[in-house]
Amino acid sequence: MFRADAVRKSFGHVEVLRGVSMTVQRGEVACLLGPSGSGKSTFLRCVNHLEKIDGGRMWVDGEMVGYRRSGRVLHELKEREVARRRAGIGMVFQQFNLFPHRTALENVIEGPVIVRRRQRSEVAGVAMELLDRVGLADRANHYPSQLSGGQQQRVAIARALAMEPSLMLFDEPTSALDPELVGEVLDVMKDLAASGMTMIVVTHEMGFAREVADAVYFMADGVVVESGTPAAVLLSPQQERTRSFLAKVLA
Amino acid sequence: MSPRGTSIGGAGASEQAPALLALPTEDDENLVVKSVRHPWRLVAVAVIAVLVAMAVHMLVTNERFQWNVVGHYLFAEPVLTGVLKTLELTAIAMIIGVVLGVVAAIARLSPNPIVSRTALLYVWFFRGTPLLVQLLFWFFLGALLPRISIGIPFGPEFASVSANTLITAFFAAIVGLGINEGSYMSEIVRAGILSVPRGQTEAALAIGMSRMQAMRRVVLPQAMRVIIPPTGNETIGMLKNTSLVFVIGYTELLTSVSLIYARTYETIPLLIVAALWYLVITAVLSVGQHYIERHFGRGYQVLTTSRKARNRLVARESLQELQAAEVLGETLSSGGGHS
Ligand SMILES: Nc1ncnc2c1ncn2[C@@H]1O[C@H](COP(=O)(O)OP(=O)(O)O)[C@@H](O)[C@H]1O
Ligand SMILES: [Mg+2]
Repeated sequence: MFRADAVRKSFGHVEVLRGVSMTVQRGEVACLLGPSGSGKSTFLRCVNHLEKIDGGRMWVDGEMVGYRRSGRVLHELKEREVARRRAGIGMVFQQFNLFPHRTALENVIEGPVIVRRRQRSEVAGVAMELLDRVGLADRANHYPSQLSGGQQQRVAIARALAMEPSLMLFDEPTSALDPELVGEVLDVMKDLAASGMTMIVVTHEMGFAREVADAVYFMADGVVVESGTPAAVLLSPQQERTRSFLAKVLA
Repeated sequence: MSPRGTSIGGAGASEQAPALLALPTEDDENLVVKSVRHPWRLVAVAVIAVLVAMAVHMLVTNERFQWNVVGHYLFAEPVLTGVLKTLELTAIAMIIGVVLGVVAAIARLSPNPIVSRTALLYVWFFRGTPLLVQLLFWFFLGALLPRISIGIPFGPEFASVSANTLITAFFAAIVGLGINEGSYMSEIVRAGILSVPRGQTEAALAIGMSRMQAMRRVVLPQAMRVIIPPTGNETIGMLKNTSLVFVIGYTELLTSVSLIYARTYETIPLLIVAALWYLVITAVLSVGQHYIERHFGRGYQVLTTSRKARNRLVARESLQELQAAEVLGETLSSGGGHS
């Protein structure tokens, strides 16, 4: 489903990703942990081609990210093609990034109508179902400024799901939330995982990782330091870096 | 005094719970509220009233304003034609200006250095030279390029016209005003685009929009909140800048009245006629701006809740706080009683 092979990315002279590899099977949830600045967000952005990788390869759903292969030549994708592939990958941001000038429902409808060119009336029903699924059917006509952080993030998840993605990326989806609102977002994500969605989740919620993840990757300084089952990585980490990070997070 | 009040005075209790001093007693419920007085506001109003009265008196009694002449020309045919031409120039030049401004702003933010430098050059040149010079330049373009042709660059021509046929005073006026306006608008639009957080573009790209779709559907509508107020200024400025086209012999409002007073020597009343029309149009434009601002303020209402509603909210919250404090106070004082 998803494979990254020795992915490299530099900003100027700083190499932020120094050979990251990862495999996620269909229906699996991979959690990505690591200290701030270790390159987790950059990695997710590369998966979605919001950043261009400088080395290595990535595949989503059997298609190479950013390139098309014909024979022995890799052709860089045109913007249209990049956009088409992005549409099949959902992304949820730390800061929600809902469109503030559109209601919850309009936020969800925007992608299918503008990108997939579907009829607004036809999409509205599906969008309402999605809002219902994240528990916000009664907030459909509210603007983001009228919603709590937790509600905004759930609308953002519904907006991503409206594109019927085959892979969902979450970048610290609960880090900007008040503690009492974290649970409602994690619950939606758990449901999503249980429904068989393939997910890559950057998070500091150890409970979520332990309960939901099929694999946990610990990243530091642009490399995967340690990976394995949640039990292996979280409960009996082999690497010193992992141990000291977990000690800090769980303290 | 209520019993609770007395207990507060007791040495033992106040040591236990000093916070009780601030708690309301039953008496507090029937208190009369006296607002703060603002005596200086009255003084200011009085001063303004006297000044306005003096101004009105001067305007009405001074014969030289010739209000009957003003009335005579206010709706005169050449004046109304001038008003229409001014409105027409303002509207067309602003449309050209806004379109050019958006294009130049997007070009300025382009990753392609040639494109962004070209936009920069455009802004630099047209903001950096006097509008009057630009208008004259466009009008006399015919002298520089006798024929204007459509065709393949450096190749065959498909059609060509004499520049003097194409470049009428009207044409030079809208091109000159519009292109000049575009250079100012591009800076306004650019500021608006930059005011929208990057995350908005990323969210739009992430659901599969192209850069252009993201710009049109997500960034520009939000940038409008920042773009509209200065654009209102620009429109009102344009309304008056149109009077500069008299140099190329185009007759708009101010030129119309000047043609009349050149003949009748009723200079002051005719200038008043023009000023009144400019004021009326400005007022109408301001009302329009208000509605446009409201339209693009969608989703931001929480920030603009009416003061009344906000006060109600504050009142409700402080009532709850008061009640909570009372409950706390009772707990504390009963606790204090035991020790
Ligand atoms: N657009 C950018 N330009 C330059 N440096 C960047 C950019 N984005 C991220 N970085 C740098 O890359 C490093 C990794 O960032 P990031 O992927 O956001 O880490 P994480 O999400 O793990 O906290 C940081 O040092 C950050 O400063
Ligand atoms: Mg990050």
